[in-house]
Amino acid sequence: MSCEEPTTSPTPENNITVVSSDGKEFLLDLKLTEQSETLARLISNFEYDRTDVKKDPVPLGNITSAQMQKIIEWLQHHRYYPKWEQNDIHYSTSFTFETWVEEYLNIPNNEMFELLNAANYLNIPRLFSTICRIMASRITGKSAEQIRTVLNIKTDVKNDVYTGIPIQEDSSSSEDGMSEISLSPSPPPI
Amino acid sequence: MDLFFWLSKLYEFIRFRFHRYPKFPLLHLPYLAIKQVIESMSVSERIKLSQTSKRMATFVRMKLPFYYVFIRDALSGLFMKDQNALLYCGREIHKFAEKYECLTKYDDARWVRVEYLFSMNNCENVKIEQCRLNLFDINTLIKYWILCQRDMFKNLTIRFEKQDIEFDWNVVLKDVAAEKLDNSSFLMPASIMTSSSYDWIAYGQGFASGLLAVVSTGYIGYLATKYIQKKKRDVMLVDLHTSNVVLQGARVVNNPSNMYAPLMITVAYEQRGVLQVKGDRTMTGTMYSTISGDLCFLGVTGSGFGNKIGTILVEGYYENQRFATLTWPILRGFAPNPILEFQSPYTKYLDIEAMSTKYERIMWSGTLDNTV
Repeated sequence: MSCEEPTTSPTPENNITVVSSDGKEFLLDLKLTEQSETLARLISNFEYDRTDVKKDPVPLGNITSAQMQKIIEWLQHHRYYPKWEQNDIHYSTSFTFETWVEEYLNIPNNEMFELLNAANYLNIPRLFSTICRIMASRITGKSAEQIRTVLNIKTDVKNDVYTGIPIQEDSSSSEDGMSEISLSPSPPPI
Repeated sequence: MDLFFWLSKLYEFIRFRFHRYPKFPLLHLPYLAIKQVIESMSVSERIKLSQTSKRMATFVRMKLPFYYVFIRDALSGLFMKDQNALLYCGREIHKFAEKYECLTKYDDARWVRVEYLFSMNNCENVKIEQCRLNLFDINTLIKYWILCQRDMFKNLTIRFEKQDIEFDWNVVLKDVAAEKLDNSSFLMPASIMTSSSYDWIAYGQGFASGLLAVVSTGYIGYLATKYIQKKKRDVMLVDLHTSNVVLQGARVVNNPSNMYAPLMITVAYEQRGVLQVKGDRTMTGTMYSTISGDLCFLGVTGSGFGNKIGTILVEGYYENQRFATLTWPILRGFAPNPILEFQSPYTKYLDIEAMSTKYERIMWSGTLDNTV
């Protein structure tokens, strides 16, 4: 997938301002917002693509500034990519990624979770799909027990399906595991 | 340098041991996101994911975007085919397809011991070829099957490796209460009780095609089967489809069309089961078995049937009755090439490639064109 970046400088007319949950403002090119269905629909509804319309800042209460920065980085990189198309019946999962994508998503699982939530909220299908596949690739080769730990799944099976050996309850993989997830820009304490 | 290396190892260990590793709380995602993540996983990971918890199994239960699943090695095959097939991990499935067949076939079953057969439970159709069982084993199997309180299988077909086995009813039916029938014996008294499940066992020349039969109720042959089905009686039928009562595996003297059809033992389950010994050309002409319909793909199990080798367990429901079939040994000498003769534009094959004695991964063949 090639992306030649023409030299276009953003002008105030084709920008909108989004405000993250922690109050930080980001200037977004309208071209970038086309990748986010949520933002694109919002811009279309409020006619922010017109120059004579006053553009109020768009509050994004579910997204922190760190996530927004990360998302803008993604949008910038995929600025000139063709529009994402829904996979058809021939779709098969691939765990092959661009080098840039691998570096971009080389982040801890909890940050990946936050980013996936943000991508889901903003409806950026390419990012959403990529994170899903990255996450799927991360658990490849892991045992059920390890998957349970990584995905923070509470055990409700008393005995192993095949061996019949009782499964030990993993106290830390209970629902309160969310407390370890940081919604702030700083990484969680470890 | 070494100190730093070991310290970092220790740090990773402590983090993992005390579960301080950054987690990805999948179940806290919105449902569509959960679904998307699961759909991105390979089938083997979905299988393992479904084993993590019952709740997770319900999420994993979804229709996969393929119509054909084909697992085979150089000798054995498991082929699942149905446009409405539901293949997922979990303990239960819902029925989508109206009609389907289920067969598990082991072309090279020299590893099978009679103890392995004992562990079958709710199997649909199992074919075992080139097995090294003898008539004593068959006798043991029949006795075990009679007394077994669970439904072991619906159909069991056994072909012997040795071509010159002389089929001796005295051996096969040793210690089994049975009565020899002739063609005119349609009605049998239910006086000989063999077990709580079986009223009656008899054997003799069949009604329609020279059958030797062991029947638990009063009829033999096809009429008997139909009658028993109608009456919902337990039946066990040993049906030798030739007058040449030798399980040679290659020659049926009185039927040239079945010349290359090895004799086999088919145990069919009708309410309780039908045990048949017969030559079957259509079976022998089939290179790969077909499993279709609602299937529950449970992955490799290391226990029970074929535990030394590793098997794939497939569970499903047939007419609201649960069955489970096992296939082996996908783990040895697996050829990853899919069979192309069934390929269609909507066909996707699922191949299993084994790297060692442990089930490693499921490999898709098809276009991988969604590189980001």
